[in-house]
Amino acid sequence: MKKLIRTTITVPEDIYKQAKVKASLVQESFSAYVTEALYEKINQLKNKPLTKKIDPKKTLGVFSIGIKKIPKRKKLYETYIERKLGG
Amino acid sequence: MKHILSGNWGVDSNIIIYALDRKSSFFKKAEKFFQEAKGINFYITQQNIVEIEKVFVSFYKIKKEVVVSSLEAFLSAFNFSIISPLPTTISYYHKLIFSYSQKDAFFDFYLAATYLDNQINNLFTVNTKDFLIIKELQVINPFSYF
Repeated sequence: MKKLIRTTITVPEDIYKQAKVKASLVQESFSAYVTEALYEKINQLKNKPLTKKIDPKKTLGVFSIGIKKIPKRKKLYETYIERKLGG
Repeated sequence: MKHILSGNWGVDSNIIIYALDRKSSFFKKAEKFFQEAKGINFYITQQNIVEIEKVFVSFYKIKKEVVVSSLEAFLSAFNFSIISPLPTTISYYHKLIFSYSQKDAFFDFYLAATYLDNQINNLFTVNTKDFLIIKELQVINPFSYF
């Protein structure tokens, strides 16, 4: 059995709450859940070469459409629902 | 303006759509906002991502692959954290729809509930009117500052 250590970390409250909920959903202890997440993160970093950070400016204005007004959220969903329900 | 350039903020779909379209009516403002927003921790819900993709793909006929990769690049470049509805979000949403008598605001309220349930109490949106009734949420149109 691997040697276990007890440690204290500081995390944002929202991340902590989400992790607690997710751990309980998969019926794992919080420690087991965090260990698994750290294990995945470490392996992800091992397997992937570090990619160059994207220049944020280059990700703005990538489309050239000329949008004047975006439909309201209600409209986006209702059109879909009406079609699905045959309305 | 300083108060809007720091802290944890959710970002509505409309802000990002305008920021991705260089010919949109608010592009210059969106560009300036994101360039000056270095102190903000941005959050976005999974619903917003679906909405943004729906607008570009269904309404403006841009290829799905292009939309998804452009949006992923944008969210990653500005360090967005993606949040999801929690098991408790449906109860939060019901609390909101029964607390405020806003007709036909189901989808806006579910979005607000997702942010609030994830402890995000600030939202950037162009359509501030849609959320102003919800006292728990601070809603600001960042474009009015630029």
